[in-house]
Amino acid sequence: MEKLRHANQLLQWSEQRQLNTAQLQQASERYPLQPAPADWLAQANLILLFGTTVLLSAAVIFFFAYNWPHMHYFTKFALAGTAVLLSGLVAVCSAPQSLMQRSALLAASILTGALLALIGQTYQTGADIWQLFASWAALITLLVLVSKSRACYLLWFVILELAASRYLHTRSEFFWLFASAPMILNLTLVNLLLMLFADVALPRLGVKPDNLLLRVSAVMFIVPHTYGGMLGAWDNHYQANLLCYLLLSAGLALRYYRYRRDIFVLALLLYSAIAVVTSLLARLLELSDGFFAMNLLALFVIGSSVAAALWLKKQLQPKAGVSA
Amino acid sequence: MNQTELALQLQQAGIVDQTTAGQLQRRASPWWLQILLAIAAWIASLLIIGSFIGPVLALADHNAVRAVIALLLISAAIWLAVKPLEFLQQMSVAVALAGQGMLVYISYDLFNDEVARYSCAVIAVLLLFSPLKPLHQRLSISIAVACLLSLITSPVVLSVSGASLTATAVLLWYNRQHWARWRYAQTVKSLLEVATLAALLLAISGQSLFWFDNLLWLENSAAYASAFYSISGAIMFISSVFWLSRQATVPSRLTLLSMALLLSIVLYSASGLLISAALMLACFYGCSRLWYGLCLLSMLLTTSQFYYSLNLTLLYKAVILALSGLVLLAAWLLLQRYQRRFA
Repeated sequence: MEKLRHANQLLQWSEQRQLNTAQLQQASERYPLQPAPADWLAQANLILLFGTTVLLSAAVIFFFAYNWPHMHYFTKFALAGTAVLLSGLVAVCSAPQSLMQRSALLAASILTGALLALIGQTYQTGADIWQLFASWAALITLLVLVSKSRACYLLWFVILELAASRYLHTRSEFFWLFASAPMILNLTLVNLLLMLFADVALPRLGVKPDNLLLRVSAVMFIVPHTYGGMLGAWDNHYQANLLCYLLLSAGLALRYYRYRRDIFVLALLLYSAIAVVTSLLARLLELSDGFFAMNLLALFVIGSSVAAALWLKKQLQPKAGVSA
Repeated sequence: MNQTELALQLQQAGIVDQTTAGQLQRRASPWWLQILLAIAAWIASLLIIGSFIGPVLALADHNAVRAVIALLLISAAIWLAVKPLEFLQQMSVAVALAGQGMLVYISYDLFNDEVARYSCAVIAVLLLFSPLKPLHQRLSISIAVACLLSLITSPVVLSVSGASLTATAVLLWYNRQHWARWRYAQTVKSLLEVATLAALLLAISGQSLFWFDNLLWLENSAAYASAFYSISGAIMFISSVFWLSRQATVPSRLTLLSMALLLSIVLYSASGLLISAALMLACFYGCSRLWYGLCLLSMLLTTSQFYYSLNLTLLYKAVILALSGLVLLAAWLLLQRYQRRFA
């Protein structure tokens, strides 16, 4: 994929007219402008196996969704259980950490969800959807840990997030946006744990170093974190969220600036701070003239965002290859 | 090796001089910073526009006043677009869109909804000839395409448009290294990205034509349109495999084509997957990892959307997915054998 990145960069420079035709021609002799056979083979390996896993897992889910009114529930469970066991068996028989083992474990993780949905459908347990997601996440934890696969971890993160947000949805009118202050705070803290897990624990658990999971979890964390902080400026019930916002943001900024430099997380924290300060400023200017207040807020947003962008770009320069 | 190192290597190889290498090293902001900047710039623009336009319109609510404001906004946007600061360029997009929106509102007020959509497309296309930045070019083309597509009520015309957009995107990705040298390469790139996005979205909606038909949004004949989608998707997928495997040995090429044909037959009802797969191959050949990833995401979305294809039973769909999964598994096993033989 490294060669592909170079080719893309050279083509981009040419499109932006930063390289002329002759320069692109010369550069293409050193860096081919199309994927090499080795790149095709590597991607084919990945896509074919990933595609097989997704399509076969989806087929099992569709099969049980057909309902089968005349099929005995025991047969249904046996079939779904066999699918999970079969994927588990393939994982056990494959070489450790191979692409095959990771795909089989991903399939087993997806099929576990299908089995749980089947149990819910058969017994009409009356459980909320968040309980399905929470049990699913709990049941596949071991599989995910063994797999050391980023795809499995991504699935696990998404299921955990769905469980948390669906739980809040049962106690709020519109998704979790109108949830109470403690609920938003809890969601923030759960997402903070996920983010710290992605940052601290994943490298120790043998997952290939990759920023994707950290970035996904950072975005999942920053949204309720900022939202709670912004509401804290307007509603006294959310003042604990605002306090928590200040403490957590300061701690995280220190960590990601000083101890483990990550410009992406720093950028999220900076722009989140701009949003919260804008909200506080809007509260302060609530009673002043609308024209004056809106333009002052706009000026603040422009000034602070430009300053933040310039500072972030400066930070990116020496670490260009690592964080960007 | 990152952008800076690549520029340095080009300089060391004597391909570019020191000044050009310096310019190449001056990296553009990463995509995530651009998104954050865009959000901030758009909010700031909305606040400014709101504070100025609200009182003016409250005092003189007339189309002539609106037209003057719209032209002022577009002029301000063009002025902002030529400034070097990224934040101002993002503001330019927000301001220009506010101007465009006001012009469209005038045409809606004077004529009707249909004329407003045509005028929206015309204004967006006209703005392509102004000194706009790539982001605004993409947005303008997207708006024009969305307006024109929203005027279509015939499923057959919709499927022909979808297939044409897919074919355009596939051809442009395969020829990227040729048009990248053109003078208007940046505009072609914008066109290509919008065409790819529209083709991926239409690929998903192409599978749901029967659903749209039930909502009475489309006229009848969804069956023909759906068949056209499937056939065009299959042709594009097989043609892509045929062209990409041109340097392979005859047995390898025959195997690849057989697999592609088999997959096209099995996935005839899931045209979205075939179209996304054809685009995915083209994007990989065009060296764009971002669009390659988006095509993969589109395949996942298409698979989940397939669940809601009301014209097919879930059992039938389960069989289709299982068979296509098995074809992919067979392809993977053959690939393993091939790699072992040549290892």
